[in-house]
Amino acid sequence: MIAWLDANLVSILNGVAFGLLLFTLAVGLSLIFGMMDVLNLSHGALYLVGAYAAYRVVGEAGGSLGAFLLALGVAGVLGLAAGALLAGITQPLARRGHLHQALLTLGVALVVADLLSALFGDEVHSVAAPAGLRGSVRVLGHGYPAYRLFVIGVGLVLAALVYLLVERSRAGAVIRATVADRDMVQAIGVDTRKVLVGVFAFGTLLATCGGVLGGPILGAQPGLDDTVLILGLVIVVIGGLGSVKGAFFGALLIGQIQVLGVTLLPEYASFLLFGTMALILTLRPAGLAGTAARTAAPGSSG
Amino acid sequence: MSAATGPLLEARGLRSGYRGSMVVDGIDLDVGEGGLVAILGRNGVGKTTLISTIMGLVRPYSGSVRLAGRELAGARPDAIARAGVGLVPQGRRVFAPLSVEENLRIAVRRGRAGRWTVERVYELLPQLAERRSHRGDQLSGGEQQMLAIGRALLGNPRLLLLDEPSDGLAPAAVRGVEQVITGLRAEGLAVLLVEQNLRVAFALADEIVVMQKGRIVHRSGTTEFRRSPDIARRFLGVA
Amino acid sequence: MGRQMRVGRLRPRWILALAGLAAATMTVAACGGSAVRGGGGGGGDQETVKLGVLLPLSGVYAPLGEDMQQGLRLYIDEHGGKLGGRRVELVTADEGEGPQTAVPAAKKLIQQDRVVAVTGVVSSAVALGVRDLFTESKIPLVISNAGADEITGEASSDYLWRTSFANTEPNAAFGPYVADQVKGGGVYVIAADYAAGKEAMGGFKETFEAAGGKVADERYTPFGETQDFQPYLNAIQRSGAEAVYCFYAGAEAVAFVKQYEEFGLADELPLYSAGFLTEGGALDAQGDAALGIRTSLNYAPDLDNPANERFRAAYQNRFEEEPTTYAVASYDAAAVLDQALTSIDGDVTGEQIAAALGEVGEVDSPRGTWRFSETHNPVQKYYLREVRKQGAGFTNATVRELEG
Repeated sequence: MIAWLDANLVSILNGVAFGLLLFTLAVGLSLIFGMMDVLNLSHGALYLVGAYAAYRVVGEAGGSLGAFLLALGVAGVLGLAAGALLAGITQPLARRGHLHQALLTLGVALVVADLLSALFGDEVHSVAAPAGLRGSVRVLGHGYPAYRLFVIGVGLVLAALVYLLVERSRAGAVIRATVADRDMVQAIGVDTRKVLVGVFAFGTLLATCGGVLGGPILGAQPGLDDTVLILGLVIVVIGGLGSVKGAFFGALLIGQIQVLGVTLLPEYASFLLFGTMALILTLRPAGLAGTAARTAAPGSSG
Repeated sequence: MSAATGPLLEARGLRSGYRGSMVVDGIDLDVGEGGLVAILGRNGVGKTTLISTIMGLVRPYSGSVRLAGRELAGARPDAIARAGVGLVPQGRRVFAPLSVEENLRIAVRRGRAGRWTVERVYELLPQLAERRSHRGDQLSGGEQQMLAIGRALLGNPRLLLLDEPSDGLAPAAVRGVEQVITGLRAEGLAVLLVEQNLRVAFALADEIVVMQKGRIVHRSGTTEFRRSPDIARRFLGVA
Repeated sequence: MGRQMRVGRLRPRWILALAGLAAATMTVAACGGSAVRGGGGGGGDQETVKLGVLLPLSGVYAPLGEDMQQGLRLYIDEHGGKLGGRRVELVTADEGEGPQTAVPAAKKLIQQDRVVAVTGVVSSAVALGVRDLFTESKIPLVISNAGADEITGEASSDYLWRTSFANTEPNAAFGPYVADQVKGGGVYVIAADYAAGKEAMGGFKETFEAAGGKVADERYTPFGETQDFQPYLNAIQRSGAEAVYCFYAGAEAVAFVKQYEEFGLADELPLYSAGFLTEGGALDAQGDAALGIRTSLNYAPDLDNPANERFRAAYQNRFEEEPTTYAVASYDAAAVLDQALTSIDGDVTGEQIAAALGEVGEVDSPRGTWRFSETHNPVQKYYLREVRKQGAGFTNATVRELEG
């Protein structure tokens, strides 16, 4: 057992790093889908916007920590703006149903991907880890990239912040109330349009900043938008819609599947991801953290 | 504003419904400052739709709704709430996944101090204070009703819309609701009450309005109404 | 397969429009040039030949397509917009990511645009998918990348020619060298799980084992969907191998090389591969992580021969980057078509070009001279290259020629 742990420690750690990176991506997707009822298929393209922002600001050869933070800032502003815009264009379609909104965001995704391709070319680009986080450190006798440890730290902090924001803050309570009963939230004087724009902007901010964070690991290249979107969707489905906890554990699970699963069952590497999703959907159709009902039965007995 | 002389709520020629149907069909209705008007009527005559229309949750086809002289018809519900209308809806509609505390805190309007605070609501409704960390869907019907009232009060309304507050509650809980409403009236709050329970309506209202097929077919003072049981029999089918 | 999910793209249309525009200006420029010079070239009046170009303008292979277009354009422009004394009109069509886009595009080139020959093709699946179409239409296809052995093996045809390489070759050329370097230690063999990866590994193992090399273990990773190679790298570290031989290209090459360094393997186990691993844009993205990697390929920018000296200077001057093997193969495709067309008198047909290609002798290429084999594959040298710093960037520097 100890020997096994020792041999796979780096893989397990790496699964955590990969999982937490996926969490930043999936939680925004999950919030927008679960809470605002919009399946935002442009989420992957927005991740790619962040990745290219990192490529442009930080570069391939190596930049300072300041450049990395600047890239995060640029990506954050782009993410907020994109989210507000997406909220604005999807809201008028709300009455036409999910499919119309999803198709609209798919259109946005294609346009964004093509613009990126026109701006940055179709070459594969990498992003250097910020100075001080390059190279590898020893973790219990094994070499491990310092930047990935940084991603683990950022991911954990982010998970805690998002959890506190959604589950413990007043803004989070307004969001959860809006999911449960939008009319009633309006009737207590809250402009739910602002809530929608806010959640959308926050979700897309997480996508673009996730792109910066993931830059040094996954690079920036055409097609990456689809890859991360699919991983994000799998996590959202596994975790349960609109649940921060679900996205967190779903992302960690997928991280381990992608890394440890591949280590232990290399022959099945291609099937592990969707196999896991199918298995979980069979056992728990609402996802890991899925709840059966969100609204109280009106006038439950007293 | 010319509100000083007119009634607090003034609805004129109000028509509304869902997808073109006419559920509220030309309503004129006044509620004076500090007054309590009870709307009676059988199921399906448009009482709740009228309340929803005043709140802005259903858009009126035509007509006007003024609060202290200010036109509200066609405004968004949140704007109407901020103008001074509070809603305690049919079925309470407390936010199930939120705790009692959260249900109240999100109703506090930021940047505008008013008479009502979460602490004052807990003073008025002590049973909520005991359950502040419970989820909305873990409360009894009576507690949910108190929560819905407290939530509406936190918007510091001038007019409270109360839709069937006694519905489905145990007699003791109904008396509790009555007491709270009586207390609020004493503070000068105007109330528009929809109620099926005649005893409750009679105990609280100073004016009774009867609706039938989307229109007001009778209105009178409560004492006058109680003195003519044939009216109740004719429109409500009760003695 | 995430990257194949894209439903439709706008960009190919823009590029097609631009390419069309570029072709038009080129023809105009050629006209002007010949007017000034008073109609040089051989064949009397100004004949025009229509040449089809089938390259990926969109999708994962687009960067290769760009290099290939550059090589082709450079050759034609260097020759006054003419091949074999005839003005050339290029008609470009999008190969996309596979036969589903490429086959209709090839049909259009042949049937609608009525080109006399086609060059390009990155994907082997496409090359094999259009083989019968070209053979039956009697239009020669001069392939300037697609490397499946079959194309110039069992599936060879009078109308299929190739100026690039067969997948096994750069790897087979490398086997004896790697065996000599590791001196009996095991080599871990890892490649992307698709036809080219399998062919490459087959080519390597055959000559490597024949030269006394030992394969420690062998692993194929899911093609196009592996972002994180750490689990595989972990397995390599635990295998006790003394070196690694891999086959990756494009995005996977970048991820593999970067992670190979990040997880500390670069310091312990030398990495060998066919040169696609560090070719072109991939090397820029790999940066420092690629330093010291030794690869085998038919071209390196610093090859010492007069043709390459001219070619490299012109290429750098015009496109502001180092030429790649992809650009050279396309440059040479234009060169062999030039030779073939020169030998034809009067009207040109696909059949005549195919026959004339068979008569093309030594090609004086930037990669050194080569000639077509019986099955239309280049008979060429392979070079040992090493990634070194060059100014602010990196380059594949020639170490020496590899003995076949």
